[in-house]
Amino acid sequence: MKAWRRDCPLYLMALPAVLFYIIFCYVPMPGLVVSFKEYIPGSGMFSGEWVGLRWFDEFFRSPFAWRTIRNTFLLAFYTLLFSFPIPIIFAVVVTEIRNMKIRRIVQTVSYIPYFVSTVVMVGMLKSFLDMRTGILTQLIVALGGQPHDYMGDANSFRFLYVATDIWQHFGFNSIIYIAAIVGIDPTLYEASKLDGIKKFQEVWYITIPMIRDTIVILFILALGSLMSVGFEKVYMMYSPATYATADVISTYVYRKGIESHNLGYATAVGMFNSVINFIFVFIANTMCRRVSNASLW
Amino acid sequence: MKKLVALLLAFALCATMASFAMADEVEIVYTGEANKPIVSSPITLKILSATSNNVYDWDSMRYFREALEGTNITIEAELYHWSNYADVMTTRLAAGVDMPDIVFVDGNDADGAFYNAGLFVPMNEYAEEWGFNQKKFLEQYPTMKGAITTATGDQIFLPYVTDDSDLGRCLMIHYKLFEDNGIQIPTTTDELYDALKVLKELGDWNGNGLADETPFLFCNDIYMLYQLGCAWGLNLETGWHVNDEGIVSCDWIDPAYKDFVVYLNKLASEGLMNDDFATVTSDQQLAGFAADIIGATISWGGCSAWFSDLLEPGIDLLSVGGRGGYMNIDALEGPTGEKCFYSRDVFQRAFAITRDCKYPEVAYCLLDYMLNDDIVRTVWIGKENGDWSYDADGNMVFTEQYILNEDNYQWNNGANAEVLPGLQKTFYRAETPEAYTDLQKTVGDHTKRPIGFAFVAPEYTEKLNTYKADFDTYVQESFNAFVKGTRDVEAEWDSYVEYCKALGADELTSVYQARVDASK
Repeated sequence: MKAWRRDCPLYLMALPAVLFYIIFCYVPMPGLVVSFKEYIPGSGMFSGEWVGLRWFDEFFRSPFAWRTIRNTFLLAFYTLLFSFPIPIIFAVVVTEIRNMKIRRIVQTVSYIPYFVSTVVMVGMLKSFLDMRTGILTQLIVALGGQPHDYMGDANSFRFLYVATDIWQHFGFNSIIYIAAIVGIDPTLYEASKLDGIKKFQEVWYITIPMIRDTIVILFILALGSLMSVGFEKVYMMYSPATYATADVISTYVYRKGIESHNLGYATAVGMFNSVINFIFVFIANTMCRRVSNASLW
Repeated sequence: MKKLVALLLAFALCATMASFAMADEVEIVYTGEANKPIVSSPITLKILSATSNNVYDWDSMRYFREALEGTNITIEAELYHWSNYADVMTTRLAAGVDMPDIVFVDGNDADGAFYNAGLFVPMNEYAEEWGFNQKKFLEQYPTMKGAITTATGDQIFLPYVTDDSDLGRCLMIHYKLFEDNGIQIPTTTDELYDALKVLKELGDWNGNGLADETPFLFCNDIYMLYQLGCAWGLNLETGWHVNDEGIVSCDWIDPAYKDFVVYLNKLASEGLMNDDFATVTSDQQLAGFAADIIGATISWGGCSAWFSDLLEPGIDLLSVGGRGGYMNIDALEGPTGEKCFYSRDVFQRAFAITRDCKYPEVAYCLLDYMLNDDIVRTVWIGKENGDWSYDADGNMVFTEQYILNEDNYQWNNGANAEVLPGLQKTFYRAETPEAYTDLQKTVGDHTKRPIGFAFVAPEYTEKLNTYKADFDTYVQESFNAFVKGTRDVEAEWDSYVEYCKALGADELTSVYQARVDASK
């Protein structure tokens, strides 16, 4: 009872987040039953005929299913591969800035892209890459290159997607690493200096190991959304010219499931996405638990 | 405390019973030839709809308020942009809660998902008693009957009709460029090619030192580019067309389609047309008009005044007889002698009454009233002696404020909103430049109607749900690749046709055939 009273403020602080997950994540979960039914609009999620695995079968038989799965996986994999280490490197670099004023300016400037909405960001991208008037196009031409339709080039799509993701998120994602780094005991650095350690060695032998647990946890969480490439950004960036590399599960299901009002189909594919994500999280968590002390459970 | 709770409950019960009592006591009275519905007690009807004019504030739409004056009906309108309206509508109807009284049904509920779930109220009995304007409308547009009535005979919609058979989408040219450089206005696709070559050779025609000019520019509104296919007898907007014998065929696998993309590929590879049409936005295209970098394009005929004003701010097209700015020209004759435009399906929007509507009869009467000739005009240009009046010779004369149209005056007042049933004709408003009128006369002669929407039997909607999305994905992707030249249409033609058939081209053809048969 005493412990409960003592920790009550902490529980109250956590309450909104817990309620959020209960209301928006757990309460709607029974709705997954729609993926096994021929849903009747307006009649509740338990309405409609039971069709079993029909929608899953229909999805996997679709001519574009495996392409969309491949595109989803590759987009998420490249995003993870390139955008996961960058906030860590940035956090290490920023914490090395001794001038606090400059450090604050650098951090603030790096956070700003995070608050630019996806719609605005894609609009800017289209404007910069416009083949006739885009500033990037004009720069390329000024340097002797030829204008190129990057937004309509399937080979460029993944690069543009990942690059803009890095630009938009690296600053904000570095916050948690910066917080972890500033929490490292400074006596470790002092002791290492006495041993004549160089800067890079300091980062490699002290900083990274001390924030290893944070890195592992965030890596597992990132892996858990590997198959959940954001719909909005892809939808705004893609076109029939880039379907080959840009058409992901969510955009395909939008065209096939939502536009044709087949909500059972859309739910089934969404559930497939979530199951795959869970499998990835489980595998990653198990591996991390075996090689280190850090894991989600 | 207990007494207070009891009192509150009792009050709530009385209020609820009173509201139900009020709902039962509404009476409909009609007056005048317009059959204007007046109800005995003030009621509110909720509408969920999409606007076509980027105005979302129902209260600012004066023309609609003028149309509804004296009816005792207040409208609460929830309006969205047409581009994301389907998402809003689908989720609201699928959930079945908080449904409006009247809803614009994007996609016409082609697969019957909503109708079969009992979300829409059949209007047959109301049409029998109150459908005065609907009856006249159906006489003028008889194919509407198949579009608003299900295969089982229930009328579930009233329509918004667009009749652009006199001037829909058409080719428009940079008049000054053509005039100053002696370029003949093209009448055939070969002449268009020659004209574009000359434009290309002009180089930096806007004199800004940049090579940003494009002779023939399209944005990602792909239907504009598809319209050029009409010169090959193709209607790529629908993807299928019906011949004079009533037989439907798929344009995506028609040999003429191959010739068309070969032509487009030639234009793109020679720099006469932009090959980034899939990614250029309409805003970028508008900026292109203003920057004077576009030699020709295809768009709505009625937009030429707007584009001309971007090119030459303040241009008075009337004073130059329409020969200025971006000038509309007639359809081009194709290699086979085909010369036509395909207009849009006249059935543009479907409006239904939902099961949650407390006053379905009143809602029907309101929707029917919106189809009256005078009301159709009122929601476009306001009532007489407002923004317009008749002069001594009986001609319509518009106010300067209306004609100048500053700050989007016309649209802010509700013109082109399309939020309720009605009719849109190409020039249903102010000045009609003489040149356009002449063009309208010729264009009307060779405008064809596309295959219109009609409800068909469930076996056909099943085919639509199974094949349409994948088929569209493949043909759109292939069109882009063929035009850009990343795939060779000549080399791949046979395999392309075979794959289209594997994706259900023949099955989808049977669906469109069923629609044609249902419309007869």
